[in-house]
Amino acid sequence: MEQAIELALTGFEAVSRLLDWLVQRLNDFGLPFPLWLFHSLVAVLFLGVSIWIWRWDKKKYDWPIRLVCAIVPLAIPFAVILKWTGVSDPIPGVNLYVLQQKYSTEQNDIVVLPFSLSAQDEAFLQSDIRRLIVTYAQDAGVSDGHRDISLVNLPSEAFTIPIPQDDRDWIRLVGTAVNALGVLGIAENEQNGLIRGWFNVVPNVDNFRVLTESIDSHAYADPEFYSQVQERWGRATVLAIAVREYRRGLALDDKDALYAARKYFVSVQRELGGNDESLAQAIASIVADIDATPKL
Amino acid sequence: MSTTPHIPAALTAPHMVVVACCLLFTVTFAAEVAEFHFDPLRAEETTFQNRADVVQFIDETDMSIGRAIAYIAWRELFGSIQDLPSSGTKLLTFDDDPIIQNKIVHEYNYDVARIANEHCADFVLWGVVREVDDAVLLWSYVAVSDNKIGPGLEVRIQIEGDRRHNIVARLPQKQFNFTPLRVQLPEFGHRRWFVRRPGANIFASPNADLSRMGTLKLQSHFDSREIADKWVRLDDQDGGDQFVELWPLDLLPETAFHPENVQLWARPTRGSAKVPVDARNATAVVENQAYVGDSEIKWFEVNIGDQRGWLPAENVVTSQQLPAGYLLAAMLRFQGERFRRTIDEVSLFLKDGRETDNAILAFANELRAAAELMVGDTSPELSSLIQDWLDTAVELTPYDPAAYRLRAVAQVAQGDNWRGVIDDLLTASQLDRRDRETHTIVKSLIGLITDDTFRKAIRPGPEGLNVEDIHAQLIHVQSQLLPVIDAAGEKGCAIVGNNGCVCHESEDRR
Repeated sequence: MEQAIELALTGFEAVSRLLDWLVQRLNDFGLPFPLWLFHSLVAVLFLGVSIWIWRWDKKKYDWPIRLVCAIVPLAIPFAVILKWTGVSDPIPGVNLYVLQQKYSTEQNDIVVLPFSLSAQDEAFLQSDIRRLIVTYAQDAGVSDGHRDISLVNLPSEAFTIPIPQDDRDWIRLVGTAVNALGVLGIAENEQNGLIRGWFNVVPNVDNFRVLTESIDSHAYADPEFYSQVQERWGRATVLAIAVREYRRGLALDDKDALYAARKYFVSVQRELGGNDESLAQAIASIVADIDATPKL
Repeated sequence: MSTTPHIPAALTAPHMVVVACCLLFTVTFAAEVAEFHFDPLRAEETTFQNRADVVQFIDETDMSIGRAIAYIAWRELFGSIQDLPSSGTKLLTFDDDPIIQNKIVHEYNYDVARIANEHCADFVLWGVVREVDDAVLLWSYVAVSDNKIGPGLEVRIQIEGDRRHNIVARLPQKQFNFTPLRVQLPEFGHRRWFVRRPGANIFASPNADLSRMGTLKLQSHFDSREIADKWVRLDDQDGGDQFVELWPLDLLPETAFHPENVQLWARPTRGSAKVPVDARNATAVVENQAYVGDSEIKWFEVNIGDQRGWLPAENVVTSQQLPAGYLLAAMLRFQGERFRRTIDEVSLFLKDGRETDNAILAFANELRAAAELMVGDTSPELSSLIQDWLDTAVELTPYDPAAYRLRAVAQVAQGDNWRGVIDDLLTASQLDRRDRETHTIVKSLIGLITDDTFRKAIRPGPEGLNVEDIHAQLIHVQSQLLPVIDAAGEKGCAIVGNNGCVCHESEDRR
């Protein structure tokens, strides 16, 4: 019995992942759909399909056939219900209804996970981090860099478990659920007082696996911390924007978006140092892919 | 037509010019700019061709220090470039105006660049300051005006053949986001000031509406204990409170670097007795300064070793609080065609050691190499020095085609390493196959190498490349490049005769 339930849940999870994937594609095509809205619409649609099947010609089809045929499309609303109730939740410990209040239609937001920082520290950090990221992006030629990037706090009520800092997949799922550009977190280690910040790039494509940038520091007031924020998180943000534009360019056959993506990739590449060989190669590879695109 | 067999001969001063581009768009943002308050003091300094303005630093903790930092940076910058007849600097303050401050806080370099446009400044230094414990964190930025088309600073080599060939390498210059600094507050407040204008009245508190306690003597100097907003607190040994407004004051630099043979004078005039000193490349401790004559030529009274005397300010490079100040002064000097001082200024910037950003350090090395190229001295020692600086730039930013391009052009100038030229251009073309600058340089070099007079002048170098080899290699590099795409995403063309793609003149210049 347990195996059957597990199998059913796996099936529902697969369905819910399929729905997530569809949302992503819709977003790529410039149709910004919050996950919850899309899921609700799909659930209602398939509920209707199920009812419609059940009401097939009673003379032509016996009730067992109609019942079996009607149950199949009910899997979709069930998957949605299970997803929202958390049974088949793709992101353990996250209430997606609360989280998606921060859904970004344009994928411009860098979302900040809630950690216990003082209000003043948080305000200064966010102000400084945004400035450092935006000025880097402006230097990289990101058009309207200031409008393209904003920092948004995620509500702490959305998280029912302690945030797993090292679980990149979990963090990326959170970012994907709110259609973010990146997910940022800063936490203070209570044992050694070290500050650890990390930035996960959310948009992804097969030919450019983007990264997590972690920074460790002894204090917020350490200039080195801010140097690292500027260099590494600024770079990660520009890469996220580049990937976003690349996806959009491919999906919409948009030449300008592809050109913008190329410009941002090259701009990041120019600033890389000798220790960034693997990133430089990855960028060179995707730029070559863009150059090979017939649209250009 | 070149009469010399080697390219270096073509690098004498008459054959080299600098074009510091500033093609002006008329962009107005009157509403924003109208909110600014200008310091009327420097009105006479605002009419120059090359300008770098300083905007009041944004003060996140409201400790009234943003304006003071900008004032210091502005005075230091002005002190650095005052020997440049075509350059100037202006201080822009927004006091407590939240509109301008909020605008800058939201748009940063873009908004500052618009301010630069509006004021016809080439560069604007701005920043953010925040108090932490007993120190301040200080972020400084240099925004480049949008009026500039292209990078703005470039090396142009002219070589005579059947016709004149221009080989141009532009320096990669965009916005500069400098490494943040942590400055201790007591250290920041302790400065030496010089009374530059009449009206340095002393008050018991920072309020000019109070009755004054006295007035500081013109051309005298004093030490400060604290600086905040528009006020300097005097370092009074008796512990009393005495405040003077900033506006009549000039900052006395701590040191003055004299890069050539030092000549000290007994008084601040060239007609006075000479003070014997035995020093070269000396750093002098500045004790005092003076403005002399109707044209107010600035002199520093300095100590070198145990000798004390006067130095004209135009012969020295002075110390600055912000590393950004050195680089800004260096760029203005380059635009003002003071190449030797550009190199000195950049050398001080690098010696300062507080800047750690690879791209900025690479730019600094490229700038001083470009300046040395423009000096036109082709001695082997200097050629080697230029090569070292450009190698450093390549090591710092090994994926930046601009670093390779400049090195290639430098090698063209030195004329004996065509293998190096081709390797660098090939690398640049591989790093960015649609790079407009690489296109242009390769095209120029192909034009040069097919020039009959120039071909006859080339001798096979130690690497054995003859003219035909060089030509074939350049064509190979060109074949690696793809058509350039302009900002609107439209296909452009920077290659003449490549696969039938021919540039229009206007495209070529873009």
